[in-house]
Amino acid sequence: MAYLNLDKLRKVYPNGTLAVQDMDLEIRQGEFIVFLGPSGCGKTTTLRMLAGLEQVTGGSIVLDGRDITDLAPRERNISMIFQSYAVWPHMTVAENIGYPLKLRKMKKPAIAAKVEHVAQVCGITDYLGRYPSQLSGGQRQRVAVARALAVESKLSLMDEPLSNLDAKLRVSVRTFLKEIHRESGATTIFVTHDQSEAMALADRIVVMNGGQIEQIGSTRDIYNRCDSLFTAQFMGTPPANIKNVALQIVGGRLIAGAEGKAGPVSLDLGRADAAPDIARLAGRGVCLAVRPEIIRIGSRAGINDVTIDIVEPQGAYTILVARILDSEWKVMVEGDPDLEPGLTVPLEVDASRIMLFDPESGRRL
Amino acid sequence: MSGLKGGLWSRSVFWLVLVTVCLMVLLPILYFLTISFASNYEAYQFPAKILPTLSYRAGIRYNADSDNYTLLLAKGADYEAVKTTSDRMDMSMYFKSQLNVILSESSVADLFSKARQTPGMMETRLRKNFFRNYVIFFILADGTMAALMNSLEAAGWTILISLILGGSTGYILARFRFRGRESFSATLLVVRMFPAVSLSLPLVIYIMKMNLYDTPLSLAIVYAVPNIALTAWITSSIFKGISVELEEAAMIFGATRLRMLMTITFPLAFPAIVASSLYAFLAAWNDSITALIMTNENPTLALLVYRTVGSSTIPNLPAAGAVVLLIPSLVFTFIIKDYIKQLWGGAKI
Ligand SMILES: Nc1ncnc2c1ncn2[C@@H]1O[C@H](COP(=O)(O)OP(=O)(O)OP(=O)(O)O)[C@@H](O)[C@H]1O
Ligand SMILES: [Mg+2]
Repeated sequence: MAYLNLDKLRKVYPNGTLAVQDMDLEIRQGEFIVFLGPSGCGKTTTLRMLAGLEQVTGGSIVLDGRDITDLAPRERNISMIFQSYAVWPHMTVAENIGYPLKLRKMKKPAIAAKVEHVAQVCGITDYLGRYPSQLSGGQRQRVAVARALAVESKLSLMDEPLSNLDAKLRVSVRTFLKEIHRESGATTIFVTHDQSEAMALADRIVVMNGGQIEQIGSTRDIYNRCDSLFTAQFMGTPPANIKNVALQIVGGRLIAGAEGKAGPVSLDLGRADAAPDIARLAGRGVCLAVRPEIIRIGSRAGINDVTIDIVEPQGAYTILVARILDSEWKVMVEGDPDLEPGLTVPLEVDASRIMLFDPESGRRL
Repeated sequence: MSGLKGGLWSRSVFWLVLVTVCLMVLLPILYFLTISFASNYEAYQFPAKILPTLSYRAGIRYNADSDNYTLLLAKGADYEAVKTTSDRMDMSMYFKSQLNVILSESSVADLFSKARQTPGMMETRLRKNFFRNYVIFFILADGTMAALMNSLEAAGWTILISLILGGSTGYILARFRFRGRESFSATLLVVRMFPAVSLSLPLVIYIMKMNLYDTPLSLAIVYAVPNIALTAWITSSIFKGISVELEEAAMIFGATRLRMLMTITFPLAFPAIVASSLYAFLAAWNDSITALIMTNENPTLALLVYRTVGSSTIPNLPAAGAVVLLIPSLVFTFIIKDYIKQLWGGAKI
């Protein structure tokens, strides 16, 4: 039995917007789950239904064996960290953290001890007497984290808690959140549309699109074994290169062919026996997804010779832009090799890491 | 301000403007205070005095030919004869009623005998009884304390009714979406356009039926009507400014809706609530017309002032009454001024 179970969860707003459609999800205790998806895909709506802030249109939510679908927010024993932090401006940091404990009818000394403890964990002991207006954004966020931590809730919800922080702080608070999670073991659902945040934090990522779940899986699964074309296109910076091609085996080699503007074009994907999963689909039209980093500069001239159009060095790696299969593809090579636009190089593709999708349905083949 | 750093020219202009504005605000108030301390004689003088006087430079002349005495008061460099009489009592009465100078007949007799011994005019100083107008006011206005209590009670009820009804309307307007919300909030202002009198006349019938006639509560009901709308406007804009997430956070962390309102929303909206109660207080405090219609035996302070001195042709006594009326509202304003400051550009929510 899962710890948290969403069953056919559905939300239609009064204005008719279908925000979440029949969402099924099972979460184990202690998991760090990240909802990832483009803007407007229903992440916040789902979270608000879990918190009890939004009425559920259909389906049910079961938390720790108890149906909480129609309970008031305060009866759910859930904590939440908001994008705007939502720390109460008229209370000191200590009062902010202690307020939920007071509502839980804890004794004063016990509250003080708890506040002291979580403040220590979050590194805000020095600010306990201050008002939120006297804190920086990062410090306020820590207060919000401390407040959520103090209540020891059954489920911890976070709605883009890092998006108001500057880029550097975002990474450090991210690490801090991960540490906190490791120590507290609190079951957490974290919402973001930043994939690097999602991949860094998640035990499992839930990729959402248009109110539906596209895929649930570990970072590795989501990145390398995409269930759908949407996920392949959404994940990765830069995202996977996509092209509708006809797959053939010619002379023991896998060839992806397509119609270019100036006649047929093709890409050699390597020896057929090296990737039997792909070879079995030879002879049909597929949607080919190739991540930029599985293409490398090969040693055998004559196979996939392409001319480099643009070179974008990034320090640790370099992104090349070239016309492949008559489309603009991105290629990621390690380090900062001595390459220049106009140079012609042979390319090799790691066929075992290619992903193929049905051109009609967009599902993985 | 750049003017402070800038040249003498811009600095002078800055101070000139500042001083002018201060004078424009303060002078009328000062003049009003002075009038409230002026005797009848002073109230008729022209040019009027800006600062209140404590005593008169005066002279008494014995007129041997007609065997009477002339009282002269300094006017600029000269003296002006204001009263000629042979009767001590007559003179004493004149002192009291026209000059606010309390001198017994025997003291006047002393003055007269001294004047008789002095050739020409005998100079003297007549000390004014400074608070005489106020004393007269309290003598005339019988039951000031009772009226004060009535006023306070009416103001209290007005604040309570306005806040409860107006505040909850404001909250609903700020937080809930419903059909016709915009037009509803615009309509609220229309209520304010009705003069209080036009409300009180018809309302008086219902008030009588409810057995509330001549009570502070009945007044508060009339005062509250336009104030509910105003309170709804003020508070709704403040409630809108309070992030919904602050309330949601409270509910998630264990608060009931009521608890959330009491511990999060109201404290955050406190400046607006205080400002609204100031408006309500002033509306109740300053009214005399509605009170004239709605009360009989139990007037409010404003009505009492009006009744006592409203028909007076000399401005000094009404001014004293107005100052009496002003003091409680000044006290109230001073108590709450810190919160108002918060509202107009203080702590951000
Ligand atoms: N109160 C509301 N009334 C009507 N429609 C709403 C409401 N809130 C959200 N929606 C709609 O529901 C859909 C899902 O919104 P939601 O806020 O859950 O998206 P999200 O995934 O959190 O997006 P973002 O990443 O931008 O925060 C959107 O199409 C949005 O326009
Ligand atoms: Mg959102």
